[in-house]
Amino acid sequence: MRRSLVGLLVSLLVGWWVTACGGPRATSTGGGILPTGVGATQLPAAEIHEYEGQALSSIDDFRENSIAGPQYVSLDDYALTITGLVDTPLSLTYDEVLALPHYEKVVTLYCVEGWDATILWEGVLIEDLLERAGVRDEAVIVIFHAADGYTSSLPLGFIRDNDIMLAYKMNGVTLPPERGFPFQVVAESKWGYKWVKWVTQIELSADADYRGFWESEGYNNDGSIEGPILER
Amino acid sequence: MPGRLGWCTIRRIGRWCGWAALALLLFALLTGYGISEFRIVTGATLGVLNKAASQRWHHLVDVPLLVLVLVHVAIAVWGRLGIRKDRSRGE
Repeated sequence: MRRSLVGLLVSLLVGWWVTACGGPRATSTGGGILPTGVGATQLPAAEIHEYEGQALSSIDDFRENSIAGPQYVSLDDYALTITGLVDTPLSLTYDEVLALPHYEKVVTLYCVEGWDATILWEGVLIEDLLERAGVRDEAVIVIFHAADGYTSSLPLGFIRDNDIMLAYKMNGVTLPPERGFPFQVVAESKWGYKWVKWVTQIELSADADYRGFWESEGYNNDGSIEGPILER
Repeated sequence: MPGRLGWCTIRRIGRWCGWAALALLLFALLTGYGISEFRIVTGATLGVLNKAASQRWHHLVDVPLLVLVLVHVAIAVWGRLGIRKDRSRGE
């Protein structure tokens, strides 16, 4: 009896060791381990969990609650377009956006479902994009269009005053498809429904009453985390 | 005797509170899922309980549910204490 128990314990320990420790394992959601001998000079990025002493949430920790499930955007035919009330409508490739000055900031996403996630975001300032297109004076609202048809908006003044970012990395890794690749709006101090993922178009508009997807269903158009979640 | 209201009436109130609390709890569960699993619940309720409606109703039933549960429990506990007192007097 004792021998069989010892044998069982040893088997469990070996099994645990094989599954937990054995074999190479990709730690990056942005790619796997590169095989040796290929001439790779850079290891793929690994998700970071702390930044300047602040603990970060894991990008796998929070729910995917988009309206139509994760979108898989191909860069082959992708272009970020800036349209509407601008002097020069733009169509930028992914690499062209990444060539702009980029910034990092730790921002917490608060979801109306009650959870939140603190992430280190890296991206470009939306204002920098808008400056390149030349915003007309009558524009007051910036509407973000996503690959799945989802839309939401932010006031132009809010974007300028708060250095709102269009992120392409989170916690040091490129946005996974489930988290909004290629770009996600980091709508700091706004509820999660303002954080548009899979951004394909940025539209400048004079329609201050524009209602995005969830706003049309009754969520507060202002979207501030200090204010009510629902319209009265 | 518990006062003007007969004990049977009070127990009946307690029972009704229990059933009402159960109904509200089920509704709270449904609306809770209507927030987190909105795709399923919105479809199942033919759009009646979309995410925003679920959120609104979910927060509206918090306090009534709590009140019903407290009343139900209070009456039940009171009844138990009353039975113990009667038994101890009877001994």
